[in-house]
Amino acid sequence: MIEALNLSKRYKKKMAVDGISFNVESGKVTGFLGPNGAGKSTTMRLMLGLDYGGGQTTFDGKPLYKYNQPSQMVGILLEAKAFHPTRSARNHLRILAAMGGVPYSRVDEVLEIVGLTEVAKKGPGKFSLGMSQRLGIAAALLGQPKYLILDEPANGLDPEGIAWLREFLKDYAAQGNAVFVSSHLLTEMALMAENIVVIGKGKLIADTSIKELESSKGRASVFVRSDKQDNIEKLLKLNKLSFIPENNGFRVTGATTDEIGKLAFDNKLLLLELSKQNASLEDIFLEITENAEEFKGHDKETK
Amino acid sequence: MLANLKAEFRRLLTIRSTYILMLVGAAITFFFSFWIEGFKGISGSPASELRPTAIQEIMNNSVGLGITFACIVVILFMAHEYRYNTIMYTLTATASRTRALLAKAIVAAIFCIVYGLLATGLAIGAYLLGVSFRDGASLPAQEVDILYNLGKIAFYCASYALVGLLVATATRNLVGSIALFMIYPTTAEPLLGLLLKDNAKYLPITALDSTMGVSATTATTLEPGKAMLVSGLYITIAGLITWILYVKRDAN
Repeated sequence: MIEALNLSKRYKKKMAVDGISFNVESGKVTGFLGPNGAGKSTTMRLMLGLDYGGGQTTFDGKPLYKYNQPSQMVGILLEAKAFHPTRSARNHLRILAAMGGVPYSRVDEVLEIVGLTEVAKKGPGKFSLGMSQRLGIAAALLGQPKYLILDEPANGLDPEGIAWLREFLKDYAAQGNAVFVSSHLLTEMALMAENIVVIGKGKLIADTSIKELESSKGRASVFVRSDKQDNIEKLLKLNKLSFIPENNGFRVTGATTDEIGKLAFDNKLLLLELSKQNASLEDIFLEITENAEEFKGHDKETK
Repeated sequence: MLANLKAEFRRLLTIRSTYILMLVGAAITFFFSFWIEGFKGISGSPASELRPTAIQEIMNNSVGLGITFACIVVILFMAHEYRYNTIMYTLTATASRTRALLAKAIVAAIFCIVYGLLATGLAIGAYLLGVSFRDGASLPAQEVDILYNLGKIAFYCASYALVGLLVATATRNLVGSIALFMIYPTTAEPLLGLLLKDNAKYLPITALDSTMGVSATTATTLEPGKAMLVSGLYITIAGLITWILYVKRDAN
């Protein structure tokens, strides 16, 4: 398990990461979410000891630098284009293999895994973003590490590549490894991750499982439709439930399907539709990070 | 450590610019030794005068030419780590930052020593070839202390390798470190030399060049032994500062 404890980092007057603690469990993919400038990349760099700050991160109880071959413990992808543009992809990986005490035969294996065997002799300077991401993923996999820390690995991948990455990371985690992955593709994250850590303005907002977050009371809603919509509306108002009209019915928050069903029955109302509506990860993300956005766009052009 | 050395050698030798710069350095060394010193002969140049110390002079003069290019290779070797952010792989794949930097320093020094010795050999060969084409010229018996000179060349080349590495590590900027490496010895130090007059011999690059009996400033040069001591001291202090920066700063 990866345990990040009280991570913090200050840049002059700005607190980029402010006392964040969370765990990344083995056997699961943990998503790392946050608005732009929330401190995701800084947190990952702190975890790996690339940046200095407060707090500590341990991997199976020890900091990364205590391992003789850290790259066999943690595979990283922090930036897609982290390679010399004219050194061949194979040589780039061979340098990393030599450094991590990994046999060169593994280089060809990972190139095969990510589908770059055919361009292994080429300099990656002309690679597309997707191909660069694949090379970065290959670098992360070199040491067959127990942990993967990946910053936006799906950026630039085509739909087929994203689907491949999703299945690959889920399989990798299923083998007992831990995958910690940041992404702004929320639908992708919902499909891939079991747990999520959400930060905003350098602070921890949520550290939970996606299922728990999606079904937590207040975020889930109920869709109700009746043959007498006016009566339903009166009933909801009478019971002080908040609702919005939607698709010839109402989306109600703050009550369960059981509670609304019972209310309708007691008032002799016929319900044509009654269903629980889980909020999408995007809705939840927007809701919980509402006040934690560093950079916000505006609907109207300001002059 | 062996893993780091292996990786750093591969990093240095799998890049096109290393070979291009080595070839350019070799070509200039060849041209200087063959054409200017050997064949044409510049009046006033000791090597051109076909004296018993001519080979000695060629060794002293030519190594400086070659090492400039080797030093740029070393700067690229280090600065590319920051430019292309591969430093994050280096620092997360190695348990100790000190070990990572030490491996780079060893590789840079070995590369520059080998290249310096090869460039010197090329310069001597080119010079002899040039002299053989000169009408009626014959070289008198030469007085060269081979081991002493090889030792000096090795020290000189390793020192320049470290200068390049330290500049690139401290600035973490490719253009900045090359500019500093080119401007400081050719402009800043001679200007400082005008201010310091005879004490200019204690300036870092002047002292380092003095180990080979050449100087960037007009100051009288130090004895090679003393010059090694002074330049070694500068490199040690600069090395300590750079090491602290490398270990204590954020990765990039």
